[in-house]
Amino acid sequence: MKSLQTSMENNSVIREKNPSAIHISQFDAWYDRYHALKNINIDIPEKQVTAFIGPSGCGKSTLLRWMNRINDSIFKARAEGTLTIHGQDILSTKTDVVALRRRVGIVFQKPNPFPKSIFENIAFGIRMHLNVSKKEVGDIVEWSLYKAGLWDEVKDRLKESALSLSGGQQQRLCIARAMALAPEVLLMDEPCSALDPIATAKIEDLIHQLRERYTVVIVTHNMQQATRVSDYTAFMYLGEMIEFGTSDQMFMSPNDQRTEDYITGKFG
Amino acid sequence: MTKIHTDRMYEAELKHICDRFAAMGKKVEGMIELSTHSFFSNDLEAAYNVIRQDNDVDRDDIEINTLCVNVIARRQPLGPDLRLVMAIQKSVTDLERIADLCVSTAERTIELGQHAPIHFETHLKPMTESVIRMVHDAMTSFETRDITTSHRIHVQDRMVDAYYAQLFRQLLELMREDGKIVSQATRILSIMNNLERMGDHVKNISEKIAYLVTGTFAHHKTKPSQHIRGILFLCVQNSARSQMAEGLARTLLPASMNIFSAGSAPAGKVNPNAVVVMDELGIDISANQPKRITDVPLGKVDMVITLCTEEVCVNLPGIIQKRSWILPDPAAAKEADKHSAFIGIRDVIREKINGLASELAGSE
Repeated sequence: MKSLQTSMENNSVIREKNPSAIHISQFDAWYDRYHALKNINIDIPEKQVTAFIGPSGCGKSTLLRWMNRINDSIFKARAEGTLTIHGQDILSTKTDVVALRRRVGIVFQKPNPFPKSIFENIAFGIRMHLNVSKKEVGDIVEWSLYKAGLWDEVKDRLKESALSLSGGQQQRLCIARAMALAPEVLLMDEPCSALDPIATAKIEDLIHQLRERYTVVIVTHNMQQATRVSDYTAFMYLGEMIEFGTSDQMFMSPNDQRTEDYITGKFG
Repeated sequence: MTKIHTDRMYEAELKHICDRFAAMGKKVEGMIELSTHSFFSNDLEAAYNVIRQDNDVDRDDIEINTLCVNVIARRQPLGPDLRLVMAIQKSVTDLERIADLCVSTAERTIELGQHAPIHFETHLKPMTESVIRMVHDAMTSFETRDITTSHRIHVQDRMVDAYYAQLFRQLLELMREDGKIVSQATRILSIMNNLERMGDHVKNISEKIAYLVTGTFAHHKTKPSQHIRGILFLCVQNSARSQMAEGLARTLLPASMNIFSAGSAPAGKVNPNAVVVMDELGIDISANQPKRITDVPLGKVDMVITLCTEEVCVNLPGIIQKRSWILPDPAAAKEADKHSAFIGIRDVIREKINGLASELAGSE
């Protein structure tokens, strides 16, 4: 209850005070010759939830994927410009991508647990990234499952396969897995589009909690979800960042006609 | 031409709400015309018609509200669509109230039909015309989304207020001259009151339409208090409330502020109870005299504060702000309670002037 109150109070504070966690300027990206992102400039505030909305193919997932270099594995994907997270240049060839992905967690549309036990799904990354004792591994697993609101549901079946969980539970397991490594930023690409409304509500409740510790960036096609969970919203269209502002302003009185047409459902 | 919604059913739903609202506005406009016509021409048939039409408007109110709630529940409108639904839902309430006021006018007209007429219509016609023009302008600005007329609506509303003040004084004079007309005059007063309140409702509607178009709410409560250099406190007799307010303001507000008090029917002297309770604070008002409004150098007044309901709301040129702090008359208390009644009112005034002092200081 206390944390709920805090998060509601956070909602009313002047948001401009949050410094930028992710700084993107004059950023362009291509897939081979296809120019997917054009001159993106945005500062994503720390410990807030920022939603990216826009029609399919507008580049919002591409931008998200560059934030933890998932795009590296895609053939002929390249980017130019500035993309820093807490001051660190993400695009540099010297960037340790494995260390980066510990700092910048990602959750995908389709839950992707490892085909291992529930416990092992979380413990695996902890052992790989953090130098901690066996007992501490257990503590962190419990803490993350607890924070993800999953502990009570799985505490008696930690040795069972993660694939035995429901879709919503699997998704919360993936969020717990990311949280176990104490990331700075949590990226979410359509995290609820495969879930039912109850599982969706649980994830959204979790997102409200996450903003106390992490900077959350969420890509969603569900406009109502963006209005529910985000402090800030960015609208992208045809590879461009059209408008960025507080969600209150973006969903009540956007400045750009294209944003207005999109949020009111006038696409033709 | 702006784009339409991709979901054409949704487009049709929103348009239907707009059409219903516009039609309701037309209906209410007609009711104002008909109810005032019934009064001017003593046309009782028209008056009964107005009362019948009110059922229609009540039904519109419920049905449009239901349409709005349904579209919010099922479509979750955003941006200008949400503003449209909210603006209509709020404006419908104002339209419904205006229709109720038309009914009241019709009922007073029917009652007046049984009395000999009094000759008193000179300024009521232009007041009525102003109100009708306001409704028309407001509904047109809804259709065209052109809010440049909203300024005109505000001007018209101030004119309606001015007509009201003028008529009120005239009517008071008539009643003083001839006590037999009181029952007619109070009904005419009620009709004037109805018109004045209709003006306020139309102003509300025009503010909602401005919100629909611009996305920002009108600030109608506290206007910037800069440039206030003189304050006039008013109550009818200028013997207790406004005298205490003057004394307190002289002590609590900056010395550079010009402070006056007056009343439309000044008493012979300042109420002795007021002198006593002010003396308890070390403020001497014993030398003050009740004054007429015309005794005050009005050129130095920027703000008028009325302290009782009975005082006529005056329209003075050059006034930046008008406020009313409605306070009960301490002199009306029983003799044994009088002293504490005066202390109570004095302390309320002191608090309000302290609030005003920080407001004025904050705005500079």
